[in-house]
Amino acid sequence: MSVEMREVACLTGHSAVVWHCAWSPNGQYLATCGADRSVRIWGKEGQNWVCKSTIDSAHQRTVRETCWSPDGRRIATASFDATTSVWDISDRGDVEPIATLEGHENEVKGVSWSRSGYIATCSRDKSVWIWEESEELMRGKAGGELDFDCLAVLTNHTQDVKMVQWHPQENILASCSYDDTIRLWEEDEDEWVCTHTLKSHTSTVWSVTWSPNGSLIASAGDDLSVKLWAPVAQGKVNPRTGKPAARWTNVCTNTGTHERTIYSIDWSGVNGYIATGAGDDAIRIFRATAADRSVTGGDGSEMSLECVHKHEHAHASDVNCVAWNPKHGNILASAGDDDVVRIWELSLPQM
Amino acid sequence: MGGEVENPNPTIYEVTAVSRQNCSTDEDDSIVDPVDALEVFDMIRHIKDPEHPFTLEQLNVAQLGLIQVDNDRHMISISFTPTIPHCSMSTLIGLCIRVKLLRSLPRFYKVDVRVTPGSHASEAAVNKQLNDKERVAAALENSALLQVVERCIADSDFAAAA
Repeated sequence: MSVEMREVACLTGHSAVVWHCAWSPNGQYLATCGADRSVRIWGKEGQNWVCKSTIDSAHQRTVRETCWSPDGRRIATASFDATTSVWDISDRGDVEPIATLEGHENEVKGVSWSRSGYIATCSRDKSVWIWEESEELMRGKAGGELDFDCLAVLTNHTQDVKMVQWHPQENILASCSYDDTIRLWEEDEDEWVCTHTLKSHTSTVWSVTWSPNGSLIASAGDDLSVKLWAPVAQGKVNPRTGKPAARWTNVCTNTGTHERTIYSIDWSGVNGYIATGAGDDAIRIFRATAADRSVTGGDGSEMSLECVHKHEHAHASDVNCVAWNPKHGNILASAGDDDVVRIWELSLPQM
Repeated sequence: MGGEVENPNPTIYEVTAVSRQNCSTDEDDSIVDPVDALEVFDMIRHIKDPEHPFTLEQLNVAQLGLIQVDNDRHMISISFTPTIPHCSMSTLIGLCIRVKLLRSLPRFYKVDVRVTPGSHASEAAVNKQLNDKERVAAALENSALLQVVERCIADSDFAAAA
């Protein structure tokens, strides 16, 4: 059975490049943002996708990324204006600013909200920051304002950090960078430390994504390759954790499929397929074949990445972002340099 | 910017007139007229060097022969040659070329801007920066930098009559 992909909606409203799109955890809303400095939230009315709310002038400069809180009641927005804002979304769809996370020296390029409530941000200033909602709630603050405390400033990357992505369940953060590496971060006692540095890409890593259960990572970027990474056991036991020591290793590389920089990669938590969006205007769907247990125990050589579908001219210009719907495995959203957001319906063979 | 001029006495090259022959189908709108290298060269040749009152063409930084156009794939590849291998202005010159083309070409063209191989000490770093569209987009939101770019590309649509 072959893969089919058809456009079900083209969302127009942004007046410049759309950099990012993010589904709400319940899969009903899509938040988009871009160079017009606005954030838009889209939802379905009957059969039609409509813009439910717009935050004009959400930031002073380009809004690079948005991210939903795990409960879907808030969004965080990262901007080139060096700030990250947190917004409250009421049941009626009203959007109110409740906090501004300040500290990065310049452009904030990515933001990710962990399942346990941490927010991670990353910036051209080469750092990754981890934030937590302050426990001293609303002291002397008006309305629903919130404070966020910075728990850590992580400075191991040597160049711009392009994106951060939390593990789907645990407090493990992945970041990727213009320095060609991916780094993993974890809390060790009271300190956040870089636990792994994943090297193999030969140029900027634009995007990383975790497999549905967090046992694998897929990455993509400027070297036109898609890579799979797995923790390969080293035979020793880590005295701190009591678990076998493992080294995150590049276990599979797909090259020769993309023609220009890959800006986005997303691993569906529902159907297990991987989507990429690239500067060649195409969206591609990949299937990663791997038996998780054998990978963790073995050398990972049994893994493969197969491009099962290529949708050319998905946008009239670069595809900046692809995002699988977290509830409906056959729905994908994409954002492009052509100022529009598209929603796609796919028919995919069951894996 | 500011400070000392790095290359106070650049070689100035004679500008040769490159012109297009009129042809019989010029007025026929039904004929698709794809962009060619000469057209792209015309867009960038009059950009001024950030440090000198000369154009990129006069300094031999931009050359017709360093432009490749692939109309089937809508790809344009441009190399430019900094006047000295340590030129700290290279990224800025590349940025000017990018901005000029962003404003002159239809959006579906994919443009790669690089320094000519072997012409710059930090070739890989300059190329990487110039082709990172996020960095370029962020740079263009920096009003001080944008002002410098605007100054370099001002009036670059038209040649001073030779």
